[in-house]
Amino acid sequence: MKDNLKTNISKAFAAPAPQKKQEFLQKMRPAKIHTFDILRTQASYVRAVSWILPMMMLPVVFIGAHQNWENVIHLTEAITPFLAAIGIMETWRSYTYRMTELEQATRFSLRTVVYARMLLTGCAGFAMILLSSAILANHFRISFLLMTARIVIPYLLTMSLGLQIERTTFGRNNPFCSVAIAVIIAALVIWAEAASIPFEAALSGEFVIALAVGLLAFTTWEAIKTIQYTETYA
Amino acid sequence: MNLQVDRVTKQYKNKIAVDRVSFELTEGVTGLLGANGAGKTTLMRMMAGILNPTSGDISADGIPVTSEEYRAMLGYLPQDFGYYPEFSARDFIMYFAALKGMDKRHAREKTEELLQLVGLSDVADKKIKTFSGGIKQRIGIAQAIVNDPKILILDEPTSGLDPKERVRFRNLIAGIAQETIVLFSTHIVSDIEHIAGNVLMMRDGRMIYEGSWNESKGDLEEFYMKEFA
Repeated sequence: MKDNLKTNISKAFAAPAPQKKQEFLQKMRPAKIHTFDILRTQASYVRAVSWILPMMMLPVVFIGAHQNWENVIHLTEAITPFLAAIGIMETWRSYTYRMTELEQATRFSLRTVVYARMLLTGCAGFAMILLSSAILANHFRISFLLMTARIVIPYLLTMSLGLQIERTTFGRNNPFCSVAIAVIIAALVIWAEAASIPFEAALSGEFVIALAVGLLAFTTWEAIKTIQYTETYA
Repeated sequence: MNLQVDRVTKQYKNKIAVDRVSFELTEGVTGLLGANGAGKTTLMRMMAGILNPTSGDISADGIPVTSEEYRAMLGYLPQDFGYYPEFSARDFIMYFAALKGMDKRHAREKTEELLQLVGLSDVADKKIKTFSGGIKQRIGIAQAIVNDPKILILDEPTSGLDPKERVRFRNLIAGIAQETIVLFSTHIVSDIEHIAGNVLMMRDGRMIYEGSWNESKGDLEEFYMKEFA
């Protein structure tokens, strides 16, 4: 239809008032929503700082490797607990800001919201760890798998302990518990480096990889428990 | 639509918060009266799917309270709620529209319509933390009705509203209730006496009155005061 014809028709005839619009809207069955849509929606509500801070790890690793800092691997190991802490804080935001009751009564439910946030921040953390491992493994001529295992252990340790503590009443009332855990684990990594404790030399590559896999399984179990009990804590 | 609450009980260790409560609701406003601690909030939280009953069933036209389909047609305003500090009034309503599965375009249109309805269009982009309790309550009301709910559960929605806002809110609810089941809890009789076609009264977890109320039955406030004196 030509534009001027449309304009003339709309000028000549007033649009009828909507009749029983509310009733019609209410009768519509809710359309099915895919997991991807839920993740996309939640991604836009994850705080910018939770995306930016993990990304800031990459320039540190890149510059460290490029400038041949001798402790760049330990530095990376000391940073990863904070990625885990950011993820946990994002996951528990609903509790921190008393949004649980409202979020629980929505179509997606609080459990879905927590699951989506956990998945998004976890993926962001892991992506940064994998990229950092690739840079460091390439620079130090170490196997990528072993490098990933070394870097991911402090991350997984913080994540699993953090999720456990955040499920307790104390943890739920103290949203910065996960940061405190991250500080302790990062301090342990730095202390081991400063005291020249030869962890890596004492442990075989296979053991480090097996430890990382074991911790990954334990952290996944903790994450499932957290999601399962999410609505019980609300 | 028929919302059925069938012999619902909620027990916490040694305390029974809600004791074998049964009733049915249809479209229109139902006022839920009761003193503090009567079990109103516990009952409403169970009807909103937030708490699991110890025993009994809640369903709407056979759709159980635990299902996504039930939650999709639910609007809920708790007595007390928080907000993310970075949220403006508009962000808050948009966020709940997204959680209720509305597409972005529809959510945006509906948010603007509701901001106007609750008189917040001018301050829509201000952070919620800068608002008074009454304005926050208005934002809460807007998020509860953003998805055109078939079931609307309002727990003390008029607390924090000034007298003018209370009247405005009552009129808004009366309009919505023509096509929606509205359960409105309060301990202020005047909030519901002109708009509620049905009244429920709770005391110590039990339903002590259920039915319609009209002037021939006398003054509702007087009856309420006598029961809760």
